[in-house]
Amino acid sequence: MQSDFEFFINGNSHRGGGTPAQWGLLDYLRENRMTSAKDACDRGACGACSVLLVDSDCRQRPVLRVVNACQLTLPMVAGREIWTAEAMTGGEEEHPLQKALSECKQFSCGYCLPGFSMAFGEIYENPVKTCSSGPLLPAVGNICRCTGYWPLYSALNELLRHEKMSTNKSQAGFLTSSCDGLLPAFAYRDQVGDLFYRPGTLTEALRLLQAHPDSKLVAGGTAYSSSRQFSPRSKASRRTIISLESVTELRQVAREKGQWQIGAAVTIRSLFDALAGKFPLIAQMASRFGSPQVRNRATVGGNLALAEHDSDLVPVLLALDAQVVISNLREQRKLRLEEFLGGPSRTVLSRGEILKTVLVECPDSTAREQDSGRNLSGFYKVSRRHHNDRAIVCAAFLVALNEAGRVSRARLCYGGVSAQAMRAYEAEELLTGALWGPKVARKVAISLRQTFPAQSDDMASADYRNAMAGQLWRKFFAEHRTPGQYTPVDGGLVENLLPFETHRETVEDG
Amino acid sequence: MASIHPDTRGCPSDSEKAVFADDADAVRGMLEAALVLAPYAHASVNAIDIQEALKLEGVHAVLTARDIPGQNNLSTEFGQMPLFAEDCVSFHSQPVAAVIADNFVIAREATGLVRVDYKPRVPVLGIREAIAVQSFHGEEQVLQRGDVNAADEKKLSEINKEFTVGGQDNFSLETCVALAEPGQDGKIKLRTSVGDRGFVRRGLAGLLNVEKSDIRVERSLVGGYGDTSAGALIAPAIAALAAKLSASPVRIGLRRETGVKLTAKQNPVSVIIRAFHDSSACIQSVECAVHLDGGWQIDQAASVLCNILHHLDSAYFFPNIKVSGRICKTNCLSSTSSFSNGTGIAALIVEEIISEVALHLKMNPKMVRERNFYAPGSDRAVTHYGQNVDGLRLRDAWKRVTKLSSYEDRLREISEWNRTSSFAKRGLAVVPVKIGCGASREEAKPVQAGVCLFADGSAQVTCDGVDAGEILRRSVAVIVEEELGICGASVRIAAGDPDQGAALHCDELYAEAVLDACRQLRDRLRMIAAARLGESDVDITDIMELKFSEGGVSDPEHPDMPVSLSEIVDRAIADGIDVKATGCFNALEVLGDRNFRDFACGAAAAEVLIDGFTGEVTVLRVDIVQDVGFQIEPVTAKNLICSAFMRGLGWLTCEELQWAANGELITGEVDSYRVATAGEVPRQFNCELLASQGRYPKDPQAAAFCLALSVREAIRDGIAAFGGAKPGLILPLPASPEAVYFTIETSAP
Ligand SMILES: Cc1cc2nc3c(=O)[nH]c(=O)nc-3n(C[C@H](O)[C@H](O)[C@H](O)COP(=O)(O)OP(=O)(O)OC[C@H]3O[C@@H](n4cnc5c(N)ncnc54)[C@H](O)[C@@H]3O)c2cc1C
Ligand code: FES
Ligand code: FES
Repeated sequence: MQSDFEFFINGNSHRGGGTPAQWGLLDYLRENRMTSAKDACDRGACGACSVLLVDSDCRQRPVLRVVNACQLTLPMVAGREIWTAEAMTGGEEEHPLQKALSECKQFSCGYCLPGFSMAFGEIYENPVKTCSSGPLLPAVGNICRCTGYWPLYSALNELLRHEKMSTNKSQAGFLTSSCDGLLPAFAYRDQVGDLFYRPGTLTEALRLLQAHPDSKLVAGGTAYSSSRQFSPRSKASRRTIISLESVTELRQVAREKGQWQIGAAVTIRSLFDALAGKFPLIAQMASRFGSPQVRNRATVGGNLALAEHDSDLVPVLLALDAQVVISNLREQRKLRLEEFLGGPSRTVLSRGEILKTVLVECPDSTAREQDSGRNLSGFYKVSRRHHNDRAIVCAAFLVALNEAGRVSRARLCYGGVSAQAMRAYEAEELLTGALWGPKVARKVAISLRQTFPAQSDDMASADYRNAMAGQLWRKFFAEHRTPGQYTPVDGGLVENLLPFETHRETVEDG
Repeated sequence: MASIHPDTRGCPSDSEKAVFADDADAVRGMLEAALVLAPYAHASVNAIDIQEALKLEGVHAVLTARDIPGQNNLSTEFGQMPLFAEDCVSFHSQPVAAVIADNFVIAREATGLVRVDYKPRVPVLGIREAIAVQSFHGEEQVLQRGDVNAADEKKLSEINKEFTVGGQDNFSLETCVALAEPGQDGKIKLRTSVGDRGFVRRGLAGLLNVEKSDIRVERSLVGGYGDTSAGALIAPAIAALAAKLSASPVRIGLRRETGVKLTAKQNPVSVIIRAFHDSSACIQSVECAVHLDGGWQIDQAASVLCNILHHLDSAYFFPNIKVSGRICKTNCLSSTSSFSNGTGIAALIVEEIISEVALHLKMNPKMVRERNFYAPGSDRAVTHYGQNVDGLRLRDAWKRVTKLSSYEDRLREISEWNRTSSFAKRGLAVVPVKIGCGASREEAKPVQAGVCLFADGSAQVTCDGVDAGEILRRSVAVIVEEELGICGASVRIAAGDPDQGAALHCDELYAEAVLDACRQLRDRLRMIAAARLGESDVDITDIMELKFSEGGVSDPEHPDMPVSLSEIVDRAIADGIDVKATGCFNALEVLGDRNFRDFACGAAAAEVLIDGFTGEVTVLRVDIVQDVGFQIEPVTAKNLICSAFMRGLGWLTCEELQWAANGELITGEVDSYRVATAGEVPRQFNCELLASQGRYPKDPQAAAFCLALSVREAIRDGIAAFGGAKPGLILPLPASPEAVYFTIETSAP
C-alpha cells in the first residue's frame, strides 16, 4: 500500500501523494496551472478537457489516445504519461498543429482549441500504423460554438497534406522508445483512508473485491466518473476503488479454438482496431459509439455490466450470440449474453464477481455457411446527432441464408427502444426457414413495430421508437435485399462525400 | 494579410496577457459559492431558514436578499432583475440564496440544508397560456403599409398558417464563472466570464452600493460571444457580494446546467400568418401576428420583437403588409437578443409563406422567390417601414449563388436521382436574405477610437469596444494597416475605457471611428511626405493622391521611390505635429431618418439527403454568397459566415430547449442540449463574397445565421420528393429525425 504515486505530465514527474483518491485529473491539472484543459461539462460530452494519454493497444504496443480529463481520477493515471496542450505551446518551437489552430483562433474565442489540438494530436502524433482512423471521424467529441468547425478541420487537413508522417514514432516526442504502455499493479491510500487498488491479476482483483465488501469496480471509468461528482461523500464511509486496468489478461483480444476472446477491460477503440476487419457489425457500431474520447476509455465489460437500455454494444454482441465468462474466487461461469443480462440496467453479476471475457465465434468457423449461402449483417443507429450522441434506437441484424435462399438463422437485436436491450424473438421466428424476400421482410417489419414496450423521453417519443423498430429492419432489408450485394439506400452518396476530406486509412489487419 | 504579433494573439490588449477568467492564477484561500434555486416557476417565499446550513462545518455564510447592501437589483440598459427572489419566485430555478463555504462540495451540500417555505402559485408557462390570461409586457407593436384586407376582393388565393418557432440557447462553451477579491480600500477586483466589463460594473454598482469605479473588472478572454442579459450578471454579483461581505476572495463556478437555467434565451415565438397571392405567385399582401415569449421580465425582448417586425419582409417586397407583435409575460426565462437578434425568426416566417405559395401553385419555390424580390430602383424598393433599399445587391448574390452551386444542373440531376431512389431523397433549395445592418436606432451610440503613430513606423490603436473573440481587434488592425500602409506586425491594440464601450457586436461602429482617425492622420502627414518626396526630386502629381502603403508614402506615378513612414512620423514629431488622432463616429447622425444604416444581403443553396426510413438528414453541400460591404479581410468574413451558419443550422436541426411541465428547463447539459458537432457540418461548404464595395464592413453573421434556412428549405424540398407534400405542410423545428420522419409519414400519399 502506497501513500504516494508518480505520474508524468508533459514529461515532468508529478506526485499524487496527499491528494484525495477521488480527485479528478482535470481538477489536478487546473489547480496546477495547466489550464489548457477546460471544464465545460464535467461529464465527457464536450472534449474541452481533452488530454493525450499514453496507453497500450490490444497488442500491448504503446499508443497515444485522446481522453477526457474530466473522466479520469488521479490514481487512474498513476505510473502513466499524460500530455496536455501546453506541451504543444511550450518549448522552443510551437507544435505545427498548435500553430495551425491558433491561426483559426484569431476569429473566435479559442476556448475549445486546446481540446481540438489534443484530439487532432492523436491522429497527428501517433505512428501511422496504429492510427486506423478509417471510418472514425476525428474530433467529433469536441464541441465548438464559434468556428463552425471548417477552419479547424481545414487546418488539420492542410497539415496532413504537407507533413510526411513518420512511421514509427511520434513527431513531438510524446511517444518514445521508453514508453511501454504497460501498467504496473498499484495501490494507494489517501489521507482520509480512501483506497485505490489497481491489481495486476484477476485473482488479486477478486481477492480485493472480497476483502472490501463496499468497494467499487471501475474499468474505463466513463460511467463511474459521471456519478462521482453527484454523490458528495458522506464522511462516515470509506471508499475503495478497484481498477481493472492493470489486469493484462482482461485487456487482450485473442483467438482461441475458433473463438475470439475479448477481455472485459478492452476499450471500444481497441475492439475496433482488433476486430473491425473481421466483424462488420463491430466496425459499424464502433464508428457510431460515443466520441473518440469516450471510445478510448469505455470498455466492453463496463458497457455490459451497466446493461444500459441504449447501449450500442449489447445488441451487436447479442446478434453475434456472444457468451460471457464470469469469475469469482471459487469458479468461472460461462453464460450466454442473454442470460447475463438480467433486466433493465441489471445483470446476473453478484457481489464479488467480475466479468472476465466475452466470447464470440470466429466468422471463419462458420465458413460453410458463408460459402454455400450468405451471411447478411448490419448495425443501425438513429440518434439526434450523427456522432457523439446516445442511440434513440439502435439495432444489430444478422441473417444467415442457406443455399436455397432460405433463412437458416436470424438475430434481430435492439437497443434504446425500451427499458432494456432486447432480441425480437417473434420476428426471428417468422424469418427462420422463410425464403429471403420482400414478403417475409414485410411481415417481420409489421411484427417489429409492435414487439417492444417503447419508452418516451426528451430524445424521442415512444411512437417514434416503435416506428424505428420496424424501419431499421426495413432499411436493413432494402440494403441487403440481394444477398452478396450491398446496396446502400443513399447509393453510397454520403459514404463517398467524407466531411472535410478527412484522410482515410485502411483498417489494420488484426 | 495582416498579422498581429504572436504575443498578443489571444489577448485583448498587448500590455496584459489575458486568459479565460478561470484560468488565471488561483488566489490562495478562495471560498466557493453555490446557489439555492427555487423549485417552482411561480411561488411566494414565506420564510427562509438558514440555520441548519450555517451549522455545517466549513460553511461561512448564507446570503439572501437581506444581506445585499444596496438594492436587490442587477441593472442593465434593458431593466432590472433581482439577484435573489425576495417575496416572489418568478421563474423556475431563480436563485433564492447562496452558500459560501470552504469548498464547492461543502457549499453544495449546504444548499440542501437551506429551508425555504414556498407557497406555490399557478405559473404562466408558454405563449398560449399567456394569451389566455392576457399577460403581456407592454403594448402591441404594429408596422403596416397598404391595406391587407383589400386583397379579399381581388380573387386572390389565401394562405393561412399558424405555428411556433422554438428558441435557442446562447451556449458558450465556457461556463459562467466569477472570482472576486476584496481590496483593502473597499474596492472589489473581479474576474468573470461575462465579456463586457463596463456592463458588469454598471450592473453591480447599485447592488453593492459602491461607485462603479470601485469595481475593478480584470480583462480576460471570453468564451463564445458573451452574454449581455441580466442573468449573466448573477455569477459576478454573487462573487462580488460574498467577497465584500466576507472580506475574503470568493469564486463561483456555475455548473453548465445551472448556468443554462439562469440565463436568458432566444425565446420561442408563435406566429399567425394570412397572405394573399395571385396565380403568378406574386404575393400581394401579408398579415403576420407574432407573439414572443418575453419571460418573467422584459429584458431584451422589446429589441428582439422590434427587429423581428422590421425583418418580416426578408428579401421580398410585399405591396400590402401588416406585421404586429406582442411580448408575452410568462414565468419563463427572459429573452435575449442573441446574435441573430430575431432576424432568423423573421426570415423563417417569411420563407414559410414562400414555400406555402409554391406548394399551392406547384411551382419551384425558387421562382416564387424571384417573383417577389425587392427590385432596387423600381417601385418595389421601399420597405414596410419606409426605407429605400437602393443599393441592395440581392440580384448579384442570387445570380452568383445559382452559378456557384450549379443550381440548374443539380436540380435536374437530383430529380433524376430521386426518381430512381425510393428510400432516400435529396432536397435542394436556394434562399435569399436581406438584413438591416449597422447598429439599429436603439443601439447606435457615438463611439471613439484613438490611433497613435510611432517613430519606428508602428501604430497603436485604443478602442473601447468589447471584443468577443478577436473580430474587433482583427478588423481594426487591418484597417489601420491598409489606411496608413503600415506593414508587418506593427499594429498594437490597447484597451480603452470599458465604461464607454458600446454593446457587443457593434464592431463596425469602431471600424468607422478608426477609419476617421486614420483619415485625420493621413491629412496631417501628407504635407510632410510631399516635402520629403520633393527633397528626393520626386514630381508630385497631386498631393491628395499620395499612396500610403508598405510602410511608406509614394507618388502613384513613382511607386518605386517611397519615403518611409517612420521617417515621416519622426519629422512630424520634430515639427510638433500631433501624430495621435481620435476618430469619432456617430451612427445616429449618419442614420438620419432611416431605421438601418444600410442593408446586407446574401443567398445560400443547400442540398440535403433524407433517409426516408429514419428521417435522418445529412447536409451534403452548401454554397453561400454574401455581400459584406467593404472587405477588410476575406478569410475573416468567410470564417464568420461559417460560424454563424453552423449556429443557425444547430437551431434549425439539433438544438432544442425542453421544459418539464413545472417550467423547469430539462435540456441544460452539453449532452441534452445538442449543439452541432463536426458530424453535422455540410460535407461540402463553399463560400464567396461579393466584390468589396463601400467604405465600411457589414457584419456578415446575422445574414449567415439566416441563410442556414437554406438547409431547412432543402429538407422541405426533400420531404416533398417523397410525394404528397400538400399545402399546409409545417416543418417542425428543430427538424430532428423524428420530426422529419413523421412529417414524411403524415404527408406521404
Ligand atoms: C459522453 C458519453 C457518451 C457515451 N456514449 C455511448 C454510446 O454512444 N453508446 C454506448 O453504448 N454507451 C455510451 N456511453 C456509455 C459507455 O458505454 C459506458 O459508460 C462504458 O462502456 C462503460 O465502460 P467503462 O469501462 O467506462 O465503465 P466504468 O465506468 O469503469 O464502469 C461502469 C460499471 O461497470 C462495472 N464494471 C466495469 N467493468 C466490469 C467488469 N469487468 N466486471 C464487472 N463489472 C464491471 C463497474 O463496476 C461500474 O459499475 C457513453 C458514456 C459517456 C460518458
Ligand atoms: S469537460 Fe466536457 S468532456 Fe470533460
Ligand atoms: S472557438 Fe469558441 S468554442 Fe471553439
